[in-house]
Amino acid sequence: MTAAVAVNGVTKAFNGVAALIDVDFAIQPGEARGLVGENGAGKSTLINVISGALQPDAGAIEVDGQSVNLRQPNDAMLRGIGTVHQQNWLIPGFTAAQNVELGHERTRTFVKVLRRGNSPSTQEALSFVGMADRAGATVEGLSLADRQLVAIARALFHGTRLLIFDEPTAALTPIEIGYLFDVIDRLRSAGTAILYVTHRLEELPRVAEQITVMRAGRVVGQRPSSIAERELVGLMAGEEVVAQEDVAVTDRRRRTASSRALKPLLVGQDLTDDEDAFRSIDLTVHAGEVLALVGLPDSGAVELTQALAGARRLERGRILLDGQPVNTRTPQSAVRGGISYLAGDRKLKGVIPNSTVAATVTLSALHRVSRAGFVRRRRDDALARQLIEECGVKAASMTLPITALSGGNQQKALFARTLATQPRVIVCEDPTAGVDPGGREALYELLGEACAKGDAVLFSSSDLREVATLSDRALVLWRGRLVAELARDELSVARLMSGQFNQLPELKAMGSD
Amino acid sequence: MTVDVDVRPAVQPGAEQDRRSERGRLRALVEAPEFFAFVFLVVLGAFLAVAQSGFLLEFNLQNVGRQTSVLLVLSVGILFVLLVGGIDLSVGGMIAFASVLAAHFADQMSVVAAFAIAVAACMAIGAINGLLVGVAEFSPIVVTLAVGQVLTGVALLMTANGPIQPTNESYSGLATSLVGPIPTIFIAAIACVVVAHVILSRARLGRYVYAVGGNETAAWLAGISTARVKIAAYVICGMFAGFAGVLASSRIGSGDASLGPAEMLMAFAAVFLGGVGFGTGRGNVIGVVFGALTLGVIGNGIDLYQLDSDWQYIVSGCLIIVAIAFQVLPGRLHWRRS
Repeated sequence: MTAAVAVNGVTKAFNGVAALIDVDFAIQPGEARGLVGENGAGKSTLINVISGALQPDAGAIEVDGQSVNLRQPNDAMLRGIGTVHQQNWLIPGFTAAQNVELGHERTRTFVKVLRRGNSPSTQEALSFVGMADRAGATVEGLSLADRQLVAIARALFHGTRLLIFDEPTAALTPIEIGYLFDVIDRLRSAGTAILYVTHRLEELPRVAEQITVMRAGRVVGQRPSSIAERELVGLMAGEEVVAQEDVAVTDRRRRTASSRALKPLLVGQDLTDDEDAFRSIDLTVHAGEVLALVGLPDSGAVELTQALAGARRLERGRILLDGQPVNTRTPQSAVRGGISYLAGDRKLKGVIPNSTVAATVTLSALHRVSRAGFVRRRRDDALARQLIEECGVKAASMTLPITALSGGNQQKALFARTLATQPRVIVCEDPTAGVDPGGREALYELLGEACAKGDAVLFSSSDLREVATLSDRALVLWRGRLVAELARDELSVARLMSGQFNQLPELKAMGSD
Repeated sequence: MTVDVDVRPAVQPGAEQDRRSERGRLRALVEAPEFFAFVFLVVLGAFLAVAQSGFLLEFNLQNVGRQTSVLLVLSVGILFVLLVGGIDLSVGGMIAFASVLAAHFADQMSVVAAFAIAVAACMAIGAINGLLVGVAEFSPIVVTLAVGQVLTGVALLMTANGPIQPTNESYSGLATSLVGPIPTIFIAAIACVVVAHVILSRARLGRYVYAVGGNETAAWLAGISTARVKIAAYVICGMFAGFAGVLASSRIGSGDASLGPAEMLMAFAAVFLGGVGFGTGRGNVIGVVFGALTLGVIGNGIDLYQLDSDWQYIVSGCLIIVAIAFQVLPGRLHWRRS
């Protein structure tokens, strides 16, 4: 049988970093395939290559046995390859039907052009997913699940050779998920191939027969979906990673650990946010400790990190620093209370373009260098120079715009800004995302130094290797609850990975209370 | 004090080294927001000085100063709200309101006190704008448009019997008197400009204004109260708009509700001409001053050539487009090449 879509020897790199290495992948008509792998394993890149959003550096893509060149998403759509994204890009004020045919509206003249192959009409597409009666409803009035169905109908409108689902159930209730799976079954029996990407391993036996596992840009195996989840997690983590715990790492941990007095510094009690990302979390960060919060995207780990820094509202619970309650209603009150925050996503939430390196590092601590509301230049410059020096920001001049620096140096400057307020607790999110290995090492040193002074670091990271390297202790969250605590001697990528999927046997009881 | 330069060697090739070189410095100058308006002002001034013998006469230059004063004050006010990523369409209404209010009180108390009341009232209105935009997070366009409508209405009601003409002669004194060879009103405007420049370049608030305009989320996460910064920007804008209204009122010697719309349009033109971005956090007082002076000189040139004064709208409109092209195109070309 000819594969619906096949990818042969595809390689793709971003700025010299390989995201896909010689990937072979094929899916048959009517087949449903699971695709799993840890963050950065290459799943998204593979999806993007198949759906025409990215062009591979090498290798070939075949659709129905024909070699094709997908230059843009529309090329893939024309060949019947559709994608249902995690967040579906629907236009809220348009009706379901208008969204389905968006960009391909029928006009009298072009009607023939638009009726490609046997792609169903708008109404057919909507009735296939059971939304025929809601065709005229505007999307903003629909539930998340219904919007998901509209997105599927939109993908169907362009053809039904292959449908890619990227984490489609993240925001759905169990009943809605069941309905989604029924739609997927119907699609399959009509001959559509399904590629199902998920972190929720328990869904796979219901949806797919076979699972493709990716790790570090390669396809590392294909297994029947009846495989035990723990075995799957092991394949995703990779055995060699477990053995890779190098000496330097252990050294660093020992050093930070020796300065650790085990005095509770930051205590969170019954923390629950107002968007149901996490519930009833109790945690303690000790003086001199690096504590990691780990979890899948829907685990609430990132949200909990943000809440501790005042960047997210708590519905209940309280946060104590040195036994005193801290106001974490906003980042500025948290800073005043001694909790400083380095947000994830440097470009969106960190860097202020047009501002100089000096202005960047002292921004949060201007009160230290001003009098009567006016910045005293000499003291401001001195503080900037001291911070730049301390954090090893490499810039030809501190009057350069911050955006002229490399990613690693920008991150160091932002870290300097975080340190400038002289915090007791430093809260970071993905502290080394997009930073080169040298810069990473330097940032790890800085975090270590902060802890050596008796402060504490609390960070969340999707890079488990970083967590295993950097932290003294890790808390694992799963669907908004704390499910595991890994002490220093228990930390490994494999165990963290198992914890993320709530697959740590001895701790399972914690999660199912 | 000279600017200290950290001489640590740059490890990053490309951008950093490029900035250090002479060419890089030149490019930074050319790409500075105020560059276009500066060049244009110099070129235009030089042209008029040569072509029109009347241009450099003391009395003509005094005229330019008087005509530009209201524009200067209003423009630096608008600058603050644009820098925090907002907009203030109520300044037209504020000018009308301030002029009527000042004229209304001028015969009951000293002129200075009447002026102070008008400015303070506009600051209070700026605070309302700031609360609605910064705290309630309403759309700045809608909020300030509505507030402006209300103010215009109030000013019209207060002048239902025609413009209010204070009998106190010192009411017009601000606009007509001279200090040495320089019009007092122009000195007042320059004082406002200096205050604005000092706030933006030296005060903590100035830093925060640029931070909020550059990346509001990042500023908030860095521990800045973005709401407070926005309120402050709108209050400052109200203060300058109120003062601009007082100056405009002094110039015509009465409180007139029809003042405002024309001044507001010209001020926005001056600000954009001066290289201030809309929602980019880019721009500074120097650029705005060049922008306002350019428009003043254009208006004067049109007078000297005895053209219909309405030509200045056409000329300034075209200039804004050219100014934007100046700022945007070099970046785009650079981007294409790389």
